[in-house]
Amino acid sequence: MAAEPEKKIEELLHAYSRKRREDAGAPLEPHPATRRMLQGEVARQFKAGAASSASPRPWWKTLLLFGPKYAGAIGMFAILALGVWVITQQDHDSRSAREVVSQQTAAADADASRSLEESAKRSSEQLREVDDLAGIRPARPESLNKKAEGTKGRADVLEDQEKVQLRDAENRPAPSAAPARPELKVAEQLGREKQVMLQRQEEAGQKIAEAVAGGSVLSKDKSAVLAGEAVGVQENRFYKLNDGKGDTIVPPPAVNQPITAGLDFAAAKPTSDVQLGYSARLVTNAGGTEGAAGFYRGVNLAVTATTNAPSQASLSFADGFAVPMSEWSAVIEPTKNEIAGARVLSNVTQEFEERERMTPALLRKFSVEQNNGRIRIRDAEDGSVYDGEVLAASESNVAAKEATDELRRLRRSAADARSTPVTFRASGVNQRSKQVVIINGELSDEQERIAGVAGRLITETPAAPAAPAQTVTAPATVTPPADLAAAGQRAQAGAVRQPQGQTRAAPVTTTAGVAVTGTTAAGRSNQLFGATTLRARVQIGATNELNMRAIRTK
Amino acid sequence: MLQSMAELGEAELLARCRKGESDAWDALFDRHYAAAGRFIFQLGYDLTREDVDEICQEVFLTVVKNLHTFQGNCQFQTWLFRIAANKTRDYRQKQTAAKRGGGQVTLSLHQNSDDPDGFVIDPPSSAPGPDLSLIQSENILLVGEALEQLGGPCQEIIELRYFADLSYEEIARSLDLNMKTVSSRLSKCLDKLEAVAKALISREKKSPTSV
Repeated sequence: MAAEPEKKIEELLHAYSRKRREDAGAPLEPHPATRRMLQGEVARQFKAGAASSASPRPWWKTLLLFGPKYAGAIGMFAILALGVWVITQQDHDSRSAREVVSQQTAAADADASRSLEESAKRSSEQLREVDDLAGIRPARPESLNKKAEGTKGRADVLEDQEKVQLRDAENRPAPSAAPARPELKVAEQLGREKQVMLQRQEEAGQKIAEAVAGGSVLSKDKSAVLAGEAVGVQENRFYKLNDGKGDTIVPPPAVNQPITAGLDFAAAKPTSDVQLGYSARLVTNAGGTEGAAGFYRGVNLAVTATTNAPSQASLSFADGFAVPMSEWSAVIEPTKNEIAGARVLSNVTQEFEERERMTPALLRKFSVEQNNGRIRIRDAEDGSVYDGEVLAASESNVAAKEATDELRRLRRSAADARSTPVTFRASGVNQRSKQVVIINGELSDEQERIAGVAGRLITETPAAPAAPAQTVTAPATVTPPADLAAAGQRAQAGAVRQPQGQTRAAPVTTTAGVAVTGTTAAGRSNQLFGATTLRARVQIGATNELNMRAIRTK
Repeated sequence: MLQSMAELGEAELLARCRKGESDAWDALFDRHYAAAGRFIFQLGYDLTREDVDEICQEVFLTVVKNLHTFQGNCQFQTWLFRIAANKTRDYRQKQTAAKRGGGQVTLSLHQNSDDPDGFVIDPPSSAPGPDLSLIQSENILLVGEALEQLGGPCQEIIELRYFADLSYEEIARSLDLNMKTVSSRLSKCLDKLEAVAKALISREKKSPTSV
């Protein structure tokens, strides 16, 4: 390249370069100010660098250098990793728990099947024994065999139930080896569920009472009522109820009436038809979660009864535990139904006790006084007084009612005429329970008429000898006074009407049959009081209500 | 100390500069400041010493800030000249824009004042002086103008070759090009420059001088 001849432009460039160098003059030197400025920049630049190189940067500062985006991503990743770890741990725990439960279930199934077989065998033997003792069924062998087969079939069903229950009970603590203390479960079930059937309590209770040995344990009022209706609809609820509340209720202390295991099965013969389309087992709640019936270990009082063959009803104990009878319950399973379930029926004793406890002794004996538009009910037992007034109908209703009554008067004879019911509302404080009682009711002579029609009159004693002088018998055509009409009090023909301002009172009794001896108010005769029946809806406190029907007695 | 620093090799001097030693930096300034000024002075036919001094400040500030980016692929002076060429170009563009907009003329703060009262400001006229008119009358000086008109990579490679006196090899390393590429590009750029210069010269011949 050096050998190549220079171009003209190159010569010019070299000449230009020389010219500019000559023009530049003395070589440039950095001015002291420029040098200080550059040194200052050097100090700033390399001081920071030296400081940063002297101490290593912490790792978290390095992380911060990545910026908030990377920090957020790292945080999300950490949360995700934590969540995956938690899920993995839970899955591992549940898997191990399932393994343990499956082992326990297998063992429990084996025990339950053995127990069910024994129970079925025992039931068939007991059936045979009962029938032999009672001599009811001559063709015992064949029917017994069929019954035993049926029992076995039911045993299969029970086995299925047992499995269901055992599965439900997997998560509960294992039952103790010793027989558990009897626990009151039926009451809780009754309180929470309306599955309890109380129909035909007399006959069903009687059957069961007679079926039990000696009849000393089960009485008419301590018996289960086996009702066929509505059974087999919600069988599974039984399990849920028992499972949920079974271990928490303590039995009442005073109801121990033990049942002995040695039953006289001859007495198990029912005396009348049991209208059941089910086979039933009475299961005591003696505690525990195992048993031949698949519900609880303890005494299993099994009753089998069918509609077509009531004589086959029997009672048997799978175990010989003494159980308070107030704690047993009935379990019914449908025989013709495909539903493999059971249902808890009532413990009637507890139901009655519960009702007795909840129902206050209110207005079992009382007297009613009416003074014009005012009405007063006096409880003869506790002295509570409930004051109120006769309710007046609205004007339009009054007019319509008058027209209707007029029409009735024209149509009916004087003998058929009757008084219009008098509605009233009274309130006061019950002296015993210290609760406000509000009574909405009506007074009428309904009972008299019903009794007259039925031919079984509720006898009303004649008035006291001095009373007839005050008695005013209203003629059929008498028009009631305006004030009485306005007050809604309509005395009709045949009714006893009292002059204005006079107090009328009548002792009454309730339909419960409690003998009532009424006391007349203020010494007045009750003959002036025409109503014989009092129907009322009584509100006690804020929540309780009861319907009351009372008839007048002397 | 400065003497000993001056005896150091360039690599060692740069290493010390990277450590932040002020003496090393002083030595670096002393070693390259004049060469950079001389190179910058050639890059503009109308650049004054004040312009060159200002451009040199900018160049060495850039060196201080970016010394860590110097990889040693070429000589330090080559790297320095490239920075100087870029800064000069920026400076001239800024100056042209200021003139175009009637902007202010940059005055040197280091200019010595003859006035004892300190009133030293004597802005030079933007019009070419009599000597510059004489120079312009010479074709040689038109090369600088032509080179400025050429611009781009051609201007850069020509400046490095003829003003910085770099060899082809240095230019190739500095511009990260093949030597043959440098040779061919330089040849083509010279042809372009010649064409531009001829045009300028013919125009100058046609137009009468202002003097």
